[in-house]
Amino acid sequence: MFDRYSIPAHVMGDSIEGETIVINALTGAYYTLDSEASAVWSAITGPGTEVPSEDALDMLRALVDEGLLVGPPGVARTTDRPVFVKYTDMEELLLADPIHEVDDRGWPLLRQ
Amino acid sequence: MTAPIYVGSARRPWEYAESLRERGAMIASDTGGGQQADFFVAGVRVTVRTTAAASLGFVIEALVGRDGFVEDVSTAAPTWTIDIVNHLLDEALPFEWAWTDNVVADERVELRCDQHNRTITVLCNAERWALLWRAGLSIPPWERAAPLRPILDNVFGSTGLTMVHGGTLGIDGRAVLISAIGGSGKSTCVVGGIRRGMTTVGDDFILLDPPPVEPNTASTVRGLYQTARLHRSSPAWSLADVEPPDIHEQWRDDDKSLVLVNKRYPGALVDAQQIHAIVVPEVGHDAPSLAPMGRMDALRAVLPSSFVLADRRPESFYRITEFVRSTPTYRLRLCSNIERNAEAIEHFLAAECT
Repeated sequence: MFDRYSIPAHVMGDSIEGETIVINALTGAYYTLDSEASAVWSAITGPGTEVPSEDALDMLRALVDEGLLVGPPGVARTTDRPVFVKYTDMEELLLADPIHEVDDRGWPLLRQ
Repeated sequence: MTAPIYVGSARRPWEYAESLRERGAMIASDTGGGQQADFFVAGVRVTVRTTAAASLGFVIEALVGRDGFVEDVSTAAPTWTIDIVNHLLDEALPFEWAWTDNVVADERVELRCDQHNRTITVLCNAERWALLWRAGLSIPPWERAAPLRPILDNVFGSTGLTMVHGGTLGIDGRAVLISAIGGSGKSTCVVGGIRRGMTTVGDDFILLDPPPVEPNTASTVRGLYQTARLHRSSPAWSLADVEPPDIHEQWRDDDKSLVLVNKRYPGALVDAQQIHAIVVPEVGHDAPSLAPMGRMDALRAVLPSSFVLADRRPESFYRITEFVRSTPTYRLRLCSNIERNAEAIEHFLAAECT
């Protein structure tokens, strides 16, 4: 069932003209989903009574592996079909971790 | 250089925030008193207080300003107060807290650390108070162009406005939003259009109103900053008559110069415009042209930087996607002649945006 999957609070997605854009607010990475993957994404936010096909389950697993969905653990992907395109140009702005990578002189000096 | 200070640890984030606020006031007192300025945008009044004139000057300079913009209204109650402190912070942040995404919060405050800008930000929505503590004393050039950006996104977000990364060009209140990643010709385009007589609400980060109540109505955007940033390779560089960048060596990789639109081009800056199209510029063509483009492609140009570089509020994400969904989208191919590029936009506004 699709209702076994959920979208984390830091992940947002919206569909436009049959495609979906998804963004991870923690990392800054964003993704585009084609029409097939968009249909799966839409099913997550729908009533949840539909039983996913094998293809849909494979796409769900890819989205779980990427951290864009929370779902049942321990299920391996059955294909290597690309499910999304990932963009990381914004990600580098958010990657520094000033809380845990500072040296003894204090914040904001990064550990050498 | 000012000696580093020690703020002291605290048990709770709000106690730590209070200690920062008190220390900031002490620094202001020790350095001869703080500075204060008020500004008004979209019905929101914000008082900005700093510990030194130097750290207030660039804020006033960048925020949209007109005659009477900064007033001596210290006796009136502000809606929001933002304190800015420029001082070394020789202390480790409290590691015992559960920092997530460099953010920690309790029931009263939210603290954020930004390594890129060397800042700690405190947001206290209940008291409409915020603090920007700059632990690095030099101000990054991108912050000079759009100071207090995440804080102001939070401030204006509370009134339903959304910060969007882009500039506008318009005629008679009808405008296009020009939005793209850095290096795509956005600022060159805006400065070129201004020189041709078009108006703008801003070049870098602007405010998007809530969706119009009436269907098929263009969304309204409002100005916040009056800055445009030009790289020395921009064809608008020499025409805009800007000063070479005065960049601290810490930020030497960023060598764009700041153009203060209201100062350089009096009359070009307007309060608000209606956006009739979103255009995504693309440099490197022989002649300028505009052609329809897919909304997903336009969304990829507008959304990520608007969202990631501001406050990353879910409401912003959904407002921007709705904005792109309901607004015509075009690709703007730019040539090296900024006059011809501006002329193409002017013709487009006259022909398509009625």
